[in-house]
Amino acid sequence: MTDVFVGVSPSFGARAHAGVSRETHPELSPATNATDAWLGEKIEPFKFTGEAGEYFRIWVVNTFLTIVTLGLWSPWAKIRKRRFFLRHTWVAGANFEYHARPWPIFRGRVIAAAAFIVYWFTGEINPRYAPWIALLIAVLAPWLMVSSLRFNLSNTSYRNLRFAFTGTLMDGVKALWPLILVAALTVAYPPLFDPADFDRFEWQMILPSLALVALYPYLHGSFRLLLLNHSRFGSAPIACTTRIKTFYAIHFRGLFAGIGVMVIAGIASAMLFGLLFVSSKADLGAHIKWLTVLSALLLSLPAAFATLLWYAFTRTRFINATFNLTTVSPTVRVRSQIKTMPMAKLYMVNTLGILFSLGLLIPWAVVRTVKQRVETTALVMNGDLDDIIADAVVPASAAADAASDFFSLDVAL
Amino acid sequence: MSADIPTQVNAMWFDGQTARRTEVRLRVTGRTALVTRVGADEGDIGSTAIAHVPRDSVQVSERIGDTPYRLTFPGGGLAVTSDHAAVESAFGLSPSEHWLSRMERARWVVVAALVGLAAVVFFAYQTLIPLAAAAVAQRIPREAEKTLGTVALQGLDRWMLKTSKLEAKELSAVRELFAELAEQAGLSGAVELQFRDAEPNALALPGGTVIVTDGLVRLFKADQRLLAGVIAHELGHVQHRHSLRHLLAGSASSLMVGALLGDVSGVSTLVTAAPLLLSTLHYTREAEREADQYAFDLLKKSGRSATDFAAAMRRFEAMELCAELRAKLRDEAIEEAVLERNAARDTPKDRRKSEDRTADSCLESPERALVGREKDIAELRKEDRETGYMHTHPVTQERIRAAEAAASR
Repeated sequence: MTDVFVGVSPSFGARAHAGVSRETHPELSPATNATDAWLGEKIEPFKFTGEAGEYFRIWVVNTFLTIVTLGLWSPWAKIRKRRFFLRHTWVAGANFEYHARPWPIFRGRVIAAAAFIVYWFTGEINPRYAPWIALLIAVLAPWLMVSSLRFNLSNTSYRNLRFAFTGTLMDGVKALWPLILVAALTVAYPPLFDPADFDRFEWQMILPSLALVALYPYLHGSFRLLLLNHSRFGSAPIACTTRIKTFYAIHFRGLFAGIGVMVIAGIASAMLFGLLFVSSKADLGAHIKWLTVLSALLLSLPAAFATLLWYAFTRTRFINATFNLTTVSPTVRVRSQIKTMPMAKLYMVNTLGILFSLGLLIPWAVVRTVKQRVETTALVMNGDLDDIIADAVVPASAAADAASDFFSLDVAL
Repeated sequence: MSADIPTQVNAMWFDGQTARRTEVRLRVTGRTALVTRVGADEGDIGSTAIAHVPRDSVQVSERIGDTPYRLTFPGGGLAVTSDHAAVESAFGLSPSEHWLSRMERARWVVVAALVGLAAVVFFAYQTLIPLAAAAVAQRIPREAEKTLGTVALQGLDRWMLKTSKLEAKELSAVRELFAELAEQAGLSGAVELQFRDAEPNALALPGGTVIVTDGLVRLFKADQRLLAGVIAHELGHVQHRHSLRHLLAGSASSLMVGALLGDVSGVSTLVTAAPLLLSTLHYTREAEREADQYAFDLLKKSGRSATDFAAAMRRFEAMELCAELRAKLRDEAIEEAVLERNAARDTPKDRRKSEDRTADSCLESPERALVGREKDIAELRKEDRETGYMHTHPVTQERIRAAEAAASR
């Protein structure tokens, strides 16, 4: 298989095994990528030991508290849930930990809530101002994202060593400039709502959408690279060598795959509709109260499944493409073997489960998704992890930690 | 627990300086905690100890589910262990030390939280969100909605509505009626009437624009009583700020669904869309009821009667039923024709019947088309009642009954 989109392989691999040809494009073919261990390497798979029933209790209690406190509890709930997931995630005989304190998260949420209210009152009520608000948020996005990453990574540890995010505001701008561009284009060429020439079509109106479509793979990929290329575990710099064109290749293929599955879904829907039509002729429907809803649901399922399949496709490719070219230290690399079909099946079962349990199965769905994602990942090590990282790591300064805690916040709503 | 016999806990030790993982054994007495490497000479504890500290200086993490305990030692060392029972006995803890853990571990609390969650979500959606939306909407000046209304009207003009073809005489009669009712409602400065050509309907847009369609004037044969009923209803929407409240309630519902679904990734949008759709429809039905109630009062206040609204609704329902029946008859006729062609058999009597029925205009004389079709009508109404949760408006029969009840009061 020859492919123009050749990723840069991790240098240790290329040097040690220059003759191994399947290393040429591990990003694009998850089935054949060079993730098997070479001689002398050890594979340490990630394990997730949490159970759905265990999480159910945590989820119910904390979601209840979040809703009755009108969201004020959400930082505490977030910490509790995240600790559950990180403490249950194991690799090489050790688990992770989340150290965040609730108040910085609270601060982040207050900012997000304020932004939401401003957006609501100016954007929703007066659509003419919406592009300006979007521009403001886009301009702030790099700072918000960098702060958020710094907060979350510096509050995550493994083997009693913290991770750190070293990206600067400039790195954030380099990764997220398409957002600012698209928002600026939307301000310059608002897509609609011009009373003077509502009927006149101007090609400039589609410029923002075109720019977004053209730059989306860049945005998606560069945001992930922002994280993977500016993080450290202790003092070991994490690095990812996936190139931007790989993300274009993934989304390009995703587009075709998406069109394909949508066509199939359309045919399936039409067949289902015919079937329903015939059975309603048999007077089955007249007396069943919920039939309208059930049949509407049934008819929208093929499209929903097609969307999930497409989502699983781009997502798993994306994860493999980035993780398989990620190194934690010169002797430790990440291996990811997540596959499209099992992931798509999982998403579909989750969707049906949540729909038909009226939300009761949400915790179950979350746990099995995390388990699938965690357990398709492994570390491949050329030596013993204990010794590798031990010499390379310097203790984290408590003062620096406190400072980054003060200036950083977590904004994910 | 005796202070002399140490409790032993197997754990993993991470010193905080390196990523090295060491298997250790903790020996915890009432006063001290001693950490030694597994396999170290048991007799020579003093020299192989990794840490030897007062018991109370060791911080034990809270227990979350069955996640391992983390014991933080002074100096930054960390012991991680899944031996919950040993840690709890060594440090005199219970698994439910923290009130949150206690809640999560108690079965009755979990059940209560689950029931409570369902109750709170239901209460929020049924009462709290509409109330809060109403309270906020009343505090937003009417001018703020103007742009929203202009934008909505532009959209409607582009896709659904045409310029009115009514004659000047009809227009001015409706205008007068509208002005009078708006005056009575105390909304004179806040509302504006517009005419458009479309199917029988009336709309209240954000910002106070009320649209009356040509179809409605024709269906009501310009009857002032019936038109007053419908206009009063639309003024009710304006008075109660329904369009703004829908926006507010919609955002609140999405936030609630977001809080519930927060950490699920990769589920279909169906999961979020279905509850949001059902709640939106619930709110629009409630708004219609409120506008109806307002109309009854306004009609009474302006020297009319709520029966006018009932009459308007009756005529409206007749039109809708007529259209539905016509569609049904058309389907039957098509089926008949297919059967005829297949069986090559003529049934002239039946066909004349369907032709008769479909000849009546649903706009001019909808009632005539309904004569003798009681069984079909009952069936259509039953279907309406049963699928009420999917409708934007309450069932028409219910609205007529409410109007009559209000009139007789």
